Amino acid sequence: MDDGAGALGPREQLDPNAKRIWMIGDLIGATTLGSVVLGATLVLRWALEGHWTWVAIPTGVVVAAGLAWAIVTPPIRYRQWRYEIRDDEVELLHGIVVRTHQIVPMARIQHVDTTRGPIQRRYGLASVVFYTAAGAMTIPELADARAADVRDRIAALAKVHDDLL
Amino acid sequence: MTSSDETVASVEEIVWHRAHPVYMLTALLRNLRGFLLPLVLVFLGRGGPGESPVVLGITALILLLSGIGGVVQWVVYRYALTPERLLVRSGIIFRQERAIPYARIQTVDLEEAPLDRLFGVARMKIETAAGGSAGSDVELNAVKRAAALALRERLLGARQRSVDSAAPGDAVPTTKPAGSSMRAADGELVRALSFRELLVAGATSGTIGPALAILGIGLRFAEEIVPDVWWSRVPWEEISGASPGPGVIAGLVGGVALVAWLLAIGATVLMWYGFELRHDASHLIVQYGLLDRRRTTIPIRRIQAIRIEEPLLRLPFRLATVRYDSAGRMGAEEGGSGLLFPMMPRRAVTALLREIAPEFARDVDRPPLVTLPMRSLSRYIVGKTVTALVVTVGVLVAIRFWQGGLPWWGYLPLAWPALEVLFGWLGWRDAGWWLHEGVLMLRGRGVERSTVIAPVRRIQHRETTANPLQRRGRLATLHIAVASGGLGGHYALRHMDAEAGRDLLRALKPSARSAARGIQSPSLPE
Repeated sequence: MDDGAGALGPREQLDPNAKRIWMIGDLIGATTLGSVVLGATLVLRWALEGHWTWVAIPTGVVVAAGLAWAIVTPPIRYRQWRYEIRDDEVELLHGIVVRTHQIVPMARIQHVDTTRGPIQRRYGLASVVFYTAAGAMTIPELADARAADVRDRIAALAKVHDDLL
Repeated sequence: MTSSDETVASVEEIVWHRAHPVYMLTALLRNLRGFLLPLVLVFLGRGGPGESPVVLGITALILLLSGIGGVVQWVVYRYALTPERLLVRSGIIFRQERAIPYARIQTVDLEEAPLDRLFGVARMKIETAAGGSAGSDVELNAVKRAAALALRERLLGARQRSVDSAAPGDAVPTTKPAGSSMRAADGELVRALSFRELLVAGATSGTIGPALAILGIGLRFAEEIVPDVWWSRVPWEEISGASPGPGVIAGLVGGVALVAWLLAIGATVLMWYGFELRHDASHLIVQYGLLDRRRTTIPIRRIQAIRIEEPLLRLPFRLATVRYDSAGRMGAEEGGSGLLFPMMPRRAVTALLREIAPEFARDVDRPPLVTLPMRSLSRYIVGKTVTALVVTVGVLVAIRFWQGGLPWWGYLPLAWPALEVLFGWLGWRDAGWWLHEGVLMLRGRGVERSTVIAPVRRIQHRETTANPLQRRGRLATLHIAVASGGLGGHYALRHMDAEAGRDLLRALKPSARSAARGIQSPSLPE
């Protein structure tokens, strides 16, 4: 299938630990969602005096789907994630359901951050977030040193003052 | 207020200005605003205001507190001009002192409510590029009108100067005498909305929905307000006795719609009365309003995109609304963009743009758009129509059970999926793009048709997205974002040819104009 970016598409990959982080994140998400569904169906069963099946089926389906997503998709998402920092543009290509191909001119970038969540810290990863006057974009899950590199590189290249605003 | 130019020019001391005393009254009214509706409801709901001492007492207390609040707000409120910044002090409990560098000012709005005009003052709204985030705009309250005009020119002029010649010694702005600056600030008239056009705008405004809502509230109160004698004269027995046939219902619905329509026209006249678009060398000035007079000044170079909107009711008359995106506009009520002209012939838009903002002047009437491939038509129609069909069938079944059969009106919901097919087709037919000499035009249509003109160098970021269905049909959606308000102005062309989308995404590169020329007129694979 067409990857949506053509031969000139971005080439850099994220840190391989991204797969683990996503898996942990998705498992936490699935657990949360499962508990919410469990709670809601328990309340419903109590209110409507229904059967236990009506608790078990929705909760089971949600948890199973969440588990499947958490186990199956991270490696695919990792394979599909590409970025590239060029002198004049940042280019991102990602997504397994909706393929998204983003290009941001360096001259439009206002500032750039690195952020590290608790799970990321455990694996020594960080995300680079950069902002234009119309929104923010993220390169997630880079090794700490690499993230700092990318951040400094973007900051240096984006130094040109935007006089169009 | 005396002209403060001399004092401002001296760098050492900061001179704080107070608002005109009428601000006490304005502040009182503004403080009251939140209580107005509950109070009105209480008064109308009970037989009269004298009924309950508790209600009277609460009302008096609210009035008193609002009044005290107004006085205190006037006392604490100050503003000052330094060579580099505008300073505004406000707040009763949380004292706030805000500094706005002149160089960051995006737009300056002047608003004159009826009360303001009585006292010859205006409210100034000053917006910076940090739109959206709290504190991105400040208000100068109850500034004498002449002072306001001079001030506006200085605020915007100072920025112009600091950008044009970044000489630090030149930063102190000097102001011309008030008389001449007022004339200069008014600029040259580009286009005005005639009264006839105003009525047409109202008649085609499509705000019948809100007008209906207001009418509904009005009718509810009418029951309370209209004397019982009048109600008793209405021959209720005859009305309720006869079973209402389709004719009576149609007549009633038509009557209500007519009143709502007239209300909508009235609201439009109030809003856009005396609409004028003016310009000088570097600014556009938009002013309008019958009761609340508004005047917005927009630096031309800060306009990020121009949007031409053609509402359904105006499309047959080839009438269009012209809007702009600029980094400072927050205006949630205006969808994050500002108005340039509320209604004008589509034919005339290009000439208007050529005059006021040549960077955006493109053929709006008949642009040579690259349209969408045939295979994307189904993407425009299928999804929404299927949803509509499913819901409609559900509704039909429900009506059948409820009525024990399908009466003539039971088939009306079927209009919905039919309309979805129609608008899907219209959306597909109207959509297209045009890249010409570094300026991108995107056209699309929900119900109203919308055409955006964005110079490539002003596009902040761009992307294509493709969901599985789109990928199967080799289609993709192109998104562009320009700076506008806090969130940016986001525009999309849905379901275009994936390959053309990819090429366009690459071509929308700010610097490489040659690359943009390369794919101006591509041959799309059908």
